[in-house]
Amino acid sequence: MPGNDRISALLSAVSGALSQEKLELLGREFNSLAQDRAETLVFFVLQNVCQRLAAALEGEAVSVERFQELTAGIADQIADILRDIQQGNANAAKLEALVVTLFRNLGLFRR
Amino acid sequence: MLAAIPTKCGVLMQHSTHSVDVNPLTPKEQLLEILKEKSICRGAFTLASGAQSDFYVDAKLTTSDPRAALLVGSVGWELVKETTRAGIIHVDSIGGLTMGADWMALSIGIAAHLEDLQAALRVFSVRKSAKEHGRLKRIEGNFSPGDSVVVVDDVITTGGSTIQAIDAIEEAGGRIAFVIALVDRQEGGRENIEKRGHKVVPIFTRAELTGADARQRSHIGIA
Repeated sequence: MPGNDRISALLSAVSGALSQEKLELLGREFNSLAQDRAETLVFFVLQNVCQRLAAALEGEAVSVERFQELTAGIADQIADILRDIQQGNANAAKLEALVVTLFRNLGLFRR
Repeated sequence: MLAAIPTKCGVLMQHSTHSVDVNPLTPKEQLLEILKEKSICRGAFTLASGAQSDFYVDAKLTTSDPRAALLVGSVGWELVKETTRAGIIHVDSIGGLTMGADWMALSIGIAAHLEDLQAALRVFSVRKSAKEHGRLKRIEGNFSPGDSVVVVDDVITTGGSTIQAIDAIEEAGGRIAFVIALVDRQEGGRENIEKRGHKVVPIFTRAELTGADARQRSHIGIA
């Protein structure tokens, strides 16, 4: 599939609700794109965000409220970054904001 | 929206009345008791598929319990024998997607080995993604291309993890004999797997665990 079709497919995938299975799929596709496209760092970060979030959800009885806390803001930020890539404007500041959201959702900040 | 019911699962059985030696229940009945006691969680949950449910099965609390593992092995191996006899199928190995399948596959493999050293099943595990270094293996353990394989999973909901395992096994040259699940949640997963031409044999259904079929219950928000 040509590169921009793959981005469109990912945009379509993140537009619905997230789930552990979907995050695992997204992570695999981001990993593949990191190796196939020029925006290696962007896709590497996206892959790690999806993988870490999927790992947090895996094998747990995740309450509906906890699921909403863990995933809050993630899909919208990923979609925003993907749209930038589609337009040829990968933006490192948005990656930083996404990782901040992930860390906040997972409760990982120590500062 | 589901009401926020306090969640509870993994009740320890420190004063268990179960005893493998003197229990009048069959191994399958004993296993069902342990599952109900240890693995059923009530509350408002988001499942791996994104669907919401008032019921969660944390099967690993059962499959990692030594006494339950003996029962999973015994009941699972009987099911493998029955299914292979009925379908006149030969099976070489057993495994599924880590980690839900791992303890279960090994328990059944050990039961097979204890009964008949010659007929022993080989046991393997399927990684969620291929290793990126070395031999890029997705399947670890005792699997060979051409094997006739029993695929196991602890819980089937949409069938997603089972189908991932099936794809990896077929890609590695295995042939699927059939699928065994500890619990079929009766939410379409069995049908999704069977659409791909693979028989699914659950040890327990949701109805057996809860006394109600998922399709007859209120169910919300399939993602």
